[in-house]
Amino acid sequence: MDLPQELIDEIIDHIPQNDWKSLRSCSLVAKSWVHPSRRHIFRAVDVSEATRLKLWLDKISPTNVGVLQHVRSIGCHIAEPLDSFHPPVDFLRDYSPSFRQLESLALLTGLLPSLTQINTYSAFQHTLSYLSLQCCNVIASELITLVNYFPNLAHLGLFSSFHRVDERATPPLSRPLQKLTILDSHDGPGLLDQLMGLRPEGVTLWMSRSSNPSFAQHAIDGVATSVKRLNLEGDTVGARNSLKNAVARIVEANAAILSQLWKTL
Amino acid sequence: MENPLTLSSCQELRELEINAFCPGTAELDLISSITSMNIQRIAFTMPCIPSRPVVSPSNWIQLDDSLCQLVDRLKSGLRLEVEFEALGKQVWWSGERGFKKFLPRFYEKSY
Repeated sequence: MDLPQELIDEIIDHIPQNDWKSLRSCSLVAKSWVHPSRRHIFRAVDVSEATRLKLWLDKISPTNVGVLQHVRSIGCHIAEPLDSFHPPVDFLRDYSPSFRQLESLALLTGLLPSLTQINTYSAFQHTLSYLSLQCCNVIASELITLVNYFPNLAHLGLFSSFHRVDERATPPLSRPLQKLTILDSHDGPGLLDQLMGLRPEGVTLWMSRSSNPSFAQHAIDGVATSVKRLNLEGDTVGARNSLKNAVARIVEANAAILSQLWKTL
Repeated sequence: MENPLTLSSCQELRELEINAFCPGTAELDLISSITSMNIQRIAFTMPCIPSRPVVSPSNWIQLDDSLCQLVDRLKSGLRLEVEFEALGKQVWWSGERGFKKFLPRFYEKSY
């Protein structure tokens, strides 16, 4: 029986995203089932473990556009070289031209993707909306160049990143960034200048207990003129005393119950 | 003792979301430091659903005072929403019923 393509798409859209077994089975039903099944199977790719990356490199050719065009989200949080392959730099260099619908890119990288090779990312220049950089040495001019290069980039995440000194002039920002997330990043005054340059309207700060206590205040002051939505997570507020206070408040709030319980024992 | 976090420099702030196990002194001091006349939403998001409001009576009074000051400073036509959420849902003491009991002055000004 020949079903209209819209119906096949609709059927496959109802399969849970993480039900790989069913999606793989669907992709083998007929030619018309391959495309919608792959759209779900390859939507989010995570090559953050050496075994997964090796499997990916063995199975998927960088020129396999039929598969790679479906990738919307990539996470590559692996720093150690795999033989002579240096993720994520080599991974991006080889596969970027085929990621034509990429919306989310999360990298663990020492340095920002080289700006001299920024055209490598032209395949997803107009689709990328989220970029996350972990353990990255960042400088303002490079961050702003990246934001300007991706016109639909709305959300930039800096996780455990550091400021790198650079004398280059900072280019003007083409538009304010919608959202900036900073997780446990360091070097307050240096990053402060960069945050001001990005003029983010929404900011999420996630600081752990080991963060420099003054960093959160530096970050907030850095975005003060532009920020409209602020989200404070982790130990950002009252970092040093939060757990102690939380326990004290729970004990206080439940003192009557504990007392009653003690009497009944 | 480290300096408490302050939001006095954020003049355009409209929404503040604080993820805390339970709002305590540091969080309330942060609310008190808001000077924005555009603030329209303050949300406390908790990682689990507590069976009772884990806020001490003195902290409720401080929060009530701070919220009233914010409402008084708001630009005309704006309204301040306060939410207590756990796992994406409002906890039982959030909203009109809870505020009438725990934040009476803020309730009077806002409802």
